Amino acid sequence: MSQFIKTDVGDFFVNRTKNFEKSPPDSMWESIERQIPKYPVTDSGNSLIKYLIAGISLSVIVMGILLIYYQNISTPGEKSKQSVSNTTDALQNTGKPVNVTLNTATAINKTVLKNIVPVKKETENTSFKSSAANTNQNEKNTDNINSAKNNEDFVQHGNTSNKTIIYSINATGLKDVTEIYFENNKEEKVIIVKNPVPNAFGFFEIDISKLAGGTYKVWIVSQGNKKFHKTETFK
Amino acid sequence: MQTDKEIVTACLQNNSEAQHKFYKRFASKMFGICLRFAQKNNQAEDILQEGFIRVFGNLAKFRFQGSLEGWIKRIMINVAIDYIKKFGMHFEELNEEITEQCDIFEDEAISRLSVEDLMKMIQNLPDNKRLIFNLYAYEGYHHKEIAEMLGISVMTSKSQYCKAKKILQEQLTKIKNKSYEPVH
Repeated sequence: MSQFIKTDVGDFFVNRTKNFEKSPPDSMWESIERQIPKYPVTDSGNSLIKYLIAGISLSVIVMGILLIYYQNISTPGEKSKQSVSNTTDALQNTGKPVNVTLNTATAINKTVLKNIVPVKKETENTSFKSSAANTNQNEKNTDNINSAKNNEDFVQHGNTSNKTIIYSINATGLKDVTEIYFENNKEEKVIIVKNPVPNAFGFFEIDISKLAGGTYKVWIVSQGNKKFHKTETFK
Repeated sequence: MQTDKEIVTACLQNNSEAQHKFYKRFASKMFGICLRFAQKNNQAEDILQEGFIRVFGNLAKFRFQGSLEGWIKRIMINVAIDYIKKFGMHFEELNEEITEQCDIFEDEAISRLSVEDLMKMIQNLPDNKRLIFNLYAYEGYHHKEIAEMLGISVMTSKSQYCKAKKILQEQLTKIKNKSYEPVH
């Protein structure tokens, strides 16, 4: 005779049927699928890509700006070139006698491009310096950068055969300058610089190589107002 | 094979193939549960359908802090309770606890019963008794919890459970006696 096991009815049913599984009808999925809501798609991956692209773009822009900035600092001759061009234009436009000819202006242009250097401060007041050689020019440049606080200086550039004398005016505090000109004793404009552009160090550079010795008044015109700047005497 | 997390993530990205896979992974097991709670197969299908719609509707809320299958199962049970309640489940409140022992001897006749036969017996229980029997015996709820869920007293839950077992015991006994009837 077999041994029967006495079991609680509840336990018996649970043990026998707890893992019961049955496949629902195939049509069930179709009706469920129709009622599944559309979830808002999280685009965290796309966002990451967007941020990456934005970051790279920003970096490129910043690098571009820095590149342009440093190019301007490292090649101040470009601005001097523009300044001299303005001078040349001014000379072309004026019918009054000038000491600088177009040919001279071209020569100045070339010389400036070759030999332009930052302005060297000599004294607190206006001074004139004539030197044939660029001895210790780099040292002077450094000094100039560190101590350029004066309003204007004269610096001679180039070698002995091709001298260029630059008259500099500190552009700090001068806004919208449309013209700088030198006036002789006869109240004639002898040098006119239209729309001058300051160099990388903030100075207007005016070529006075061909200016005859004498006393000149320097005038600055800004926003339509003529302003006396200084009287200079050149030997 | 995709993990639960992978498949849920794909479902939430409106991937219909993943949603179908998700359904197929759990449908058979959940339908088995629904059949236990329902009186008829078509009721079980209704519960299953409503349950999966609720599962998909709340899938984004699942945080993987527990078993996905357990979470789906709880939803199915809640749907089953709502379904049975909706069709006018009536509980006879009892003041005295019935603690009758309901044991059976698992003889050959009973052992030969198929799972489908046993499932049919459960389905044939009255709604209230079937519900309490499922919640207590299969799902492991305490009578206090069942009482709170169904809005009945703990004593009623215990009594209904005992009565359900009594009915099942009687059915099994009938089968047993029938199989041992002398052949004339």
